[in-house]
Amino acid sequence: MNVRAQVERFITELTNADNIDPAVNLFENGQLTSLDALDLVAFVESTFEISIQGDDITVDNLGSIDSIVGYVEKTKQAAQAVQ
Amino acid sequence: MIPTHELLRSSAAKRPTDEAVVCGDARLTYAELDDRSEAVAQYLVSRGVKPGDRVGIFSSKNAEETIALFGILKAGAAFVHINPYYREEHLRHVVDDCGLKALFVDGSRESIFDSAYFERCHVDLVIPLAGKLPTAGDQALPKTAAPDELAAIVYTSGSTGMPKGIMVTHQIFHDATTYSAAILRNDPEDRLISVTPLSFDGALSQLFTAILVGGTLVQQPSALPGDVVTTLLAERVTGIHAMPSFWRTLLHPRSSFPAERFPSLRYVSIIGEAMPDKMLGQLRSVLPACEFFLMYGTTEAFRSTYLPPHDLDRKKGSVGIPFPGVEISIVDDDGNPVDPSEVGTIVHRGSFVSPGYWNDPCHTQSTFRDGGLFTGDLGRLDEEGYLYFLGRSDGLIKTMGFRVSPEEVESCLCEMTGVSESAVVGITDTDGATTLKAILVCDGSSPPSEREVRLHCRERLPHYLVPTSIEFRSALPRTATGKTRRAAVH
Repeated sequence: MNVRAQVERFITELTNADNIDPAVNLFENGQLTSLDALDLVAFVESTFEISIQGDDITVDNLGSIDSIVGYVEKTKQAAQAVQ
Repeated sequence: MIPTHELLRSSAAKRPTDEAVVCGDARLTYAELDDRSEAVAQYLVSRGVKPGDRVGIFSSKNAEETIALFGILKAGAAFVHINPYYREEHLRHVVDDCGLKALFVDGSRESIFDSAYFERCHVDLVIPLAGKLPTAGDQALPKTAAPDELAAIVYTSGSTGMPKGIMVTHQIFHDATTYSAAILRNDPEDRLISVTPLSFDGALSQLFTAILVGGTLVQQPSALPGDVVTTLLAERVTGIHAMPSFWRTLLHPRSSFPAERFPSLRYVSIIGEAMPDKMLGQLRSVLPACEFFLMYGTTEAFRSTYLPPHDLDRKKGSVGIPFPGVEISIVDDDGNPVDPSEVGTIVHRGSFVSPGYWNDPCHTQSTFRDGGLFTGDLGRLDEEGYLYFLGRSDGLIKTMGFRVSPEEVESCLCEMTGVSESAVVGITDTDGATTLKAILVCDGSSPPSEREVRLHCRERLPHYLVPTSIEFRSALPRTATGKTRRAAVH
């Protein structure tokens, strides 16, 4: 399963909502709370085997499905470049 | 008494180029906030808004909403800041209940507004809250506001049904702001971060305190730890007023907050629900140089008590002594004072007491009586007059700092096909966090799944009203009069 499909499935479970607009900020519209963000962090780390620094727990990185996918891809590429 | 919008004018005259409100890249000086809110007021007056009218704001946190808020006050009207987490039904309830003359809607809330009003909205004037707000010059604005004139209606959950509007006068805002600023020793150097929507009294108190002393309000739309830490450092924030749920996220092991240092931060004030001792200890070790003020209040009376920082260790668990001009007493079920250290209902008399609920004389009469506010909160006073808050007496639940009426969630659950009865209770874990649990009794024909129940609630209720856990049972315990015995369903 690709990154987007996995993120979509997790967010659907977390919010219990269908047909989520991938660009919408889920924290601003109240579908996720800051406490959900910490579950989201645990999911991203374990599923994609990346480590998220505290400074990276931001709306820009984790606010919408699009931004999560972008963040995961960017972080994985950076990790590969180091190797 | 100086009305809040006059305070803005006076701070703008003294320090026109200082920052009044900032939010990310948006920065408003005192002169800009004053001039632009003046223009909004003139526009509202040109469109027929009169003293006594109510004008709404439905917006997430940004700089523009403060321009609209002061514009409404300058036009002589009362503002109604609608909780940005409200879904369609709550939004319609507030708009209809207070009969808004005009409503500012921010882009992020447009889709909820549109789906709430797929048929025409009866509010005369709906104004997009973005970029340049409309103007209309040369309108005479009301000279000033009388102390007992309505300045705002603040909606909050009541013990039954939909949110109730609490009326707030100019006098209350003035007194609460001046006394808070004196206790917290606010000054023009202060930069106060605002993390709660302006639909909550605590956020309003912070905005007006910043304006009174000529400091800066830093609007913070995201409560994610990475964003908060960045803002605290970049904006050199000096004061935080937040609920325990905010601190729970910041103190999480994955957050960068505990390892960071915040040399500008001078004080922290905490209100909204009981702050667990362990969490307070953790926070104090992260911020050793900060002063901590624990406060207690209800929206019906803004601020009741505060614990002076030097009493933090001597009076563990207490929310302190009354604000100046406030008298706190504890009474039994018949309204008679109880002996010291005995538990009873907290009654607030003196300053800050609201004239009552908007449009609801019945609840106003039962809550505001004998010259006092019967808070519905349980507490006790020790021999030295320090108050200890012990929860609600009327079944309301406090979760994530929000006051939740179980009936409000239950009535939403009972709308579902297959659900015949429901009970909603608060479950508190070992860390002191309270979440909602729903117990459902189904009629057997086609019981919904747990996921369907959550989806149903998510579509209709603000997030803090959606139950975290759901349990199906065959019956609910009842009292002799047939009411659900919530205490017995945990």
